[in-house]
Order: sequence, then C-alpha cells, then structure tokens
Amino acid sequence: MERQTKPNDRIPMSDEGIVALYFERSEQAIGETDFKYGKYLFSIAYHILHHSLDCEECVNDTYLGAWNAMPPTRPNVLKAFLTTIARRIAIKRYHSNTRKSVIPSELTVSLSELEDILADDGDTGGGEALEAQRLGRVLSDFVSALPRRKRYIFMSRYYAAEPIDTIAGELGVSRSTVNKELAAIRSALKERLESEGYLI
Amino acid sequence: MKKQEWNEGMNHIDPELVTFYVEEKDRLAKKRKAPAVWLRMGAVAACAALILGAVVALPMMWEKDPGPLSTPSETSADASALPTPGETAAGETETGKISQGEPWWGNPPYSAQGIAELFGKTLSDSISTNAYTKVYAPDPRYLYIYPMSDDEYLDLYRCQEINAPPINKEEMKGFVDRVLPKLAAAMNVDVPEYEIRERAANSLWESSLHIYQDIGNKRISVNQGQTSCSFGIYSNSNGGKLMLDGEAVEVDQRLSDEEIIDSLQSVKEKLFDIFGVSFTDAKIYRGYDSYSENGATFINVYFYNEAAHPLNQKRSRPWSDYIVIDFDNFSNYADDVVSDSVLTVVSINYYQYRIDVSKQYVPFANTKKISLEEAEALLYQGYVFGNHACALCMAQQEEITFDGYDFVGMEYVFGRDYEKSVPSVGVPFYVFYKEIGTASNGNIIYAKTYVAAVEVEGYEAYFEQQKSQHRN
Repeated sequence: MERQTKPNDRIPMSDEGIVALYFERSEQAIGETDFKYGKYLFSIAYHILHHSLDCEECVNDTYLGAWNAMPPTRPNVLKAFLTTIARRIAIKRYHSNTRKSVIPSELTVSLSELEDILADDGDTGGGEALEAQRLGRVLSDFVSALPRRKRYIFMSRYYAAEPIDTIAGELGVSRSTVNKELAAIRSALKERLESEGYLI
Repeated sequence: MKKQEWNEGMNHIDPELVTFYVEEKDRLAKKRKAPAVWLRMGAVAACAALILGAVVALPMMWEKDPGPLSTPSETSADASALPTPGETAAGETETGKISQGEPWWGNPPYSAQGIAELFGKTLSDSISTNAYTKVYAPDPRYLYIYPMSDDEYLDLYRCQEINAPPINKEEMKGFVDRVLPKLAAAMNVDVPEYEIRERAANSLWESSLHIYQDIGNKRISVNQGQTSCSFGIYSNSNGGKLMLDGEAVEVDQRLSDEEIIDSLQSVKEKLFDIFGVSFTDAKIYRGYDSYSENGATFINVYFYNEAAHPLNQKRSRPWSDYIVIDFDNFSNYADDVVSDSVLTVVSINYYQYRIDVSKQYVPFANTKKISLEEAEALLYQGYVFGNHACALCMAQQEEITFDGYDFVGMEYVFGRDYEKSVPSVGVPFYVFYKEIGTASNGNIIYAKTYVAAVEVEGYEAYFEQQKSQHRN
C-alpha cells in the first residue's frame, strides 16, 4: 500500500472515528490509520526488523489485519490494538528472516540481553514445547507487578525492542540507569520463570 | 526456553500492558514537549502520593452474607445535603470512637483527588476513574452486594508494619513433609522428592523459599515468604481431574452456593486432613462475563475462620489462614474443558500466615458516615468513582444515569503501597448498581459506581477538571 504524505494542515481523525470507518467497511479507514499511526507502526516494525522494505510490508499487513479484525472486534485503544498486530507480524517475519540469516536488529540485541533466560534457537530448552498463552500470562503477571517505570522500561525494551538510548531519553535518565534497571528486571524475571517451572 | 517461544509468549502479553505502553509513551512524549507543566503536575502527584501512597482498588466487603438487597432511599436527592469542605469541625470525629490513638485529622481527611487515587495507578498512574464499571450476573444474587453498616461512625483501616520472621528452610521442610505424604496418598501416587530453592531478595520482592514439583499428573507449588506460606496443588493442562481418595474435586454450578458447599463436605474434610487444619466457615464467589455461554467463568470456594479477623466478614478473600478451591470455566488452552454444569478443579491453595495477621490490618481511626441521602446527592451530581483508572476507557463510556438505581451496598476500597506490595489505607464507600441492559449471553449488565461514605473535600474542583473525560 502506498504511504501517504502528511500535509501540514491535516488533523488526524479521532480513534472512534477511524474505528467507525472500519465498521462501515470504508477504505478511508486504512488511509486515516496510516495518516495517524503509519509512522509509529513503522517504528515498531523497524526496531524488530531493521529493514525498510520489510517494515513497509509489515505496516501494510497490519492494516490488513485491522481490516479483517474490525468488525467484529472493537478495540478500546486503537493504537494499542494496532501495536499488537504490528508486533506479531514483525515477529513472524523476524523469525522467517533469522532462519535465513541473522539480522542485526534491535530485537536481536534486546534478545541477546536475555541470554540467561533464553536458549539458542537450536536448543530445545529442556523439554516440551512451551505454551505461548501460558507464558504470556506469566509474563503479564510479572510485568503488571513491576513498578510503573520498570514496567515501561520492560515493555519498551522487550516488547517494542526500543533502543536503550531512546528509553533513557524518554525517561530523562542516563543510559546506565536504564541498563541497571533492565538488569534488575532480568534477574527478577529469571527467578519468576524458574519458579513457574520454565527450564532455563 | 527458545527465543521464538519467548517472542510468542510476548505476543500473548496482556493487551492492557500494551495499552499502558502506548499511553505512557505518548505521555512521555508530551512531557518532553512541556517540561514545565509536567514538573508542576509531577510535584502535585508526588505530594498526593506522599499523602496516600501508591494505591490500587481492592474491594472490601461488609458482611459475610449478602442478605436482602437494599434499594434506593425513599428520600429524594437534594444537592443541598452535600457536605461542604471544612463543615465538620475539628474534634467532631473524636467522639470516643477512635480505635487506636488519636485521629490525625479534624476536618474531612481526604480530598476528592486523594479518593480517586485509591482507584487508580494500576497501569497508567492516571488519577481519573471511570464513572462506572460494568459487571455481569445472571441474577442479583451473584453481584454479592454487601449490606450497609448501621454504625454512625466507620472505621478507616491501614496496614501496620510488622516484624516478620526470616524465611526458614527447616520450617518449610517440616510443613511440606507433613502435607506431602498425605496428599500423595489421597492422590494414590508416590511421594515425590523435592528441592527447596531460595529466591534472593531484590528490589521487587522479599527473599523467599519455593518448591515447584510434579506429583502424579499434577503439580505442587509451595512458597514461603516472611509473612506467609502457601501450598498449592495445580492441574496441568493435560492433567485431567484431581482425585482425592478416588473422589473427583468438582462442583455443579447449577447448584446454589449453599448446595455447593454441602456437596464439597467430603472434599473439605480430606483437605483439612491433608493440610492439618480445620476451618468453621465457607463462602463462594462466582464470576460472570458478557460473552461466555457456559455460565460462571469461575467459582472460588473458601474455607476459613470468620472470627479470626474482623475484616474477614468485610471482603471476599479472608485476611486469615484459608483454603481456596478454584474452579475455572474458560479456555486457557485448547484442551481445557468448559461446561454449563460440572466444573473441575484448577487449583487448591492453602494460605497460612507466619505473623499475627490480626495486628497487620487494623482500624486506625473512625470517621462520621455520610447518610445514604447525602451519598445519593453526590451520586446524582456525578461525584462518583468507577473502580478503573483508564482515561481512554472512561472517555469511551456511554453516558448513563443512576436515577432510580437498583441496589446499593457498601464496600471498603483499599489503596496499595507499591513499595511494600501491601494494601495501605482502607476507606468505606457506598456502592450503587443500575441495570443497564442484557449481554449477548443473557447475563444482566449492571453499572456499578462508588460514592465515598465519609466526608470528602474538593469534589467540585476535582470533577470540574475531570469533565473532559468524565461523562457522568
């Protein structure tokens, strides 16, 4: 899908309005979504893939996913809904790409920080295939219990694969502060996963 | 764990956390654009946090039995009945009703913003609250509405600092060695070997001991922290029914709560024997949603001693030792079984305190209750709190009126001290319910909203600033 140029005088439509367009099956929904969130969704994909063409395709697939999901889904927070779709598509492509060769994306770097928790892809991890939903629930419980700043740092780094410098800039702290907090989170997470029976 | 499994797990992270992430990112971006404004807001937030601490809603119930449901007062609402800031003179709340020490306020102790913070800060640190929360039930019995107190003065609670004993491996081993053989015998499996692992203290939690061990086709999870110890028996996703002495642990949701408790008599006695305890009381909580076609989404059965703590009759989860049997009825995994009749157990947990918990949550002051008529006046003016702190969700709420509401009860709402991971201050609220429709699965949709049952100052100013998001 061709990306639109953002005219200076155009005001983004409200989320409710965009969702209404999806429900009316109006193709304008895609254009409005792209106008309002296209750049943001591209950045989500880019942190994971580091490949502009792949990212463009991911963003377009995100719009297709949104088009297929709405209706019946009516998201409470459109941006979060689109983020979830974009990340899933980008992760799928990431794994497809890494089967061909290692890609030097921010996701690769953020995953390397988790070396105490994650095995190499060739490793079975010690047994049965893990159930993604259950792991998602364990991770959600863990992240929800974190103090607000740590929660944001975790989501930024390990969900959205944001660069550490970006996170530090957003929070107005030094890079080393973010690194220290990430280390504390990883340590706590490792304990939690072990206590939940995940073999690490 | 493989990287792909990690990424798949992250793809299933709670959508609310994704919402938190995108909202927080936007908020931080705005903050960078307007640092001076943010600093002022931050200072206000910090002051508020010092007053009440970081908090999250934790409903506290008033009585064990729902009893007859209350209906709207016959007295018409009158805005002139509203308490005004400073109306209560210093000392008026000191009528010999103080439970511990002297009250630390004279005038109304809480601001409207402070009350809002009791409900907030779960995800976005917003201090707004919804105008109402939707709750679902097939009939009002399962709203578990608790009657109002007749007392003129109401206790305020807080969590006390208590010196907890250090974690103790020998104590834990003794506990497990008493329980495990009996459990294994009841399950007709061998007693498994186990390893006690220590989790060091860090910035997120205190040091603790834990065991995670398969037993037959189930798992046990035993944890000992400084304040409590728990022993859980969990179904694996492919573990089938939990059988104790050949009897399946299950309930028929078509039975009444009383009938379910009776049906679990034999299971209860087995559990008492396994854990070496005896409790005199039992209660049930059922959960419902708007889309499940199989009745309750969960049923929790508690065995406990109501007299062990005064707060036990004022909320769902006991504050003293208890056993809870959790029957889930929704699909976490592909092979989960859901049913509109018999539900199988998902987990059984025994919680045992290692401290004198009766001294942990205590009334620290006593304040005059506002009348139902005064509360109704606040309700009709929209001076309400909704038990959920998402500004976007709030903005998307359909406007409703609570005129002619259906039921009213009382609940305590406890804030939460995030640093200590414990509830902080507990404040009583009137809770109003209004039927607003029927869900696609036939459950009745109720709007539920809270009005503080004690005097609060600053309503007008607070809700004026909330108008842009607060539609009621």
